[in-house]
Amino acid sequence: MNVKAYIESGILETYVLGLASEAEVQELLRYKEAHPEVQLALAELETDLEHLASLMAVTPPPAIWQRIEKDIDEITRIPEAKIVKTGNSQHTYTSNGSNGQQFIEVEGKTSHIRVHRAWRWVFAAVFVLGKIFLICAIYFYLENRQAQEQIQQLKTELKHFKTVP
Amino acid sequence: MLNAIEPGGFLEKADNLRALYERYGGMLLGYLTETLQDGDAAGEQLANIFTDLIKQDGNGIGYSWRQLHKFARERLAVSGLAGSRKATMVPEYITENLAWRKMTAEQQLVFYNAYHCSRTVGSIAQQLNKPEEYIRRTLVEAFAVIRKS
Repeated sequence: MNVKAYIESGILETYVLGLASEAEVQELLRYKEAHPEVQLALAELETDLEHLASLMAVTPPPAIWQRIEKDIDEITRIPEAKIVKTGNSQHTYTSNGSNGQQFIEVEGKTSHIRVHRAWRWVFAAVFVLGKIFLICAIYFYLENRQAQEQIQQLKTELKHFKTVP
Repeated sequence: MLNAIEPGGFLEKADNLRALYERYGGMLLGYLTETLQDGDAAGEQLANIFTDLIKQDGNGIGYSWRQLHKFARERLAVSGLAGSRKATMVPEYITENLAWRKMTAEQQLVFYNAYHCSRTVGSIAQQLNKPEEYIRRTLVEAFAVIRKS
């Protein structure tokens, strides 16, 4: 079958709709690999299907995502205490089920930590206050040194007056 | 396997899942609502499908709409919720949709049975008493109408 006839045969449409048989899928993948025009036609059909779905979209209520988040939280809890090493991963994960509480400890070898965004203002304030204290310390140090020099000078002058009759 | 904080780890997968949900959640809910003919069941299945995506090690998080649609269909089939319905007519509220309005009644019926009822070409051909080639050609024409809409 030539490429044009293949594209117009309807096989691509059945594939995009998920109705193609395994043999048809394998044949299509071979055509797709060998002929860019099949690849292009397939991409266009996928866009058409997405366009159709977007026209029929329904905004999901917020409760659905909350339910998914809850499910994800449950997936991260492992009921029994055990250590799982993840292949070539640099992390070791432990789970502890004591006192009915389930949690995951993450022991990472990485030197980086994750900090909540709100802490940046605290860090900024600490940085600014640190600078203010440093400037104050230098100022008072210089003031003190100047005062010491003046005292020393006055003492010298006083001694001088005492020695002069 | 739980890979929490490293690149490609669990937290990143959860973020990517959220992005996929933002992009396709509404489209999938629209599809499920029509396929299951039940808004509550559609919401339930939408949540189940996205949870399944993360359960299968997050492999589906980079899915295109076609791949997500296929994944959803397979999940519905496993749950016995798809593949058994045989539509003899397309609901009016569907045919009022811009993409469907310009199709002929036959194109609408073939496309609806294929897309929403997950019926094979052979099964639709049998129902309409037409050759499979004819059904395939009708699907090609239906896609051409969607493209123009």
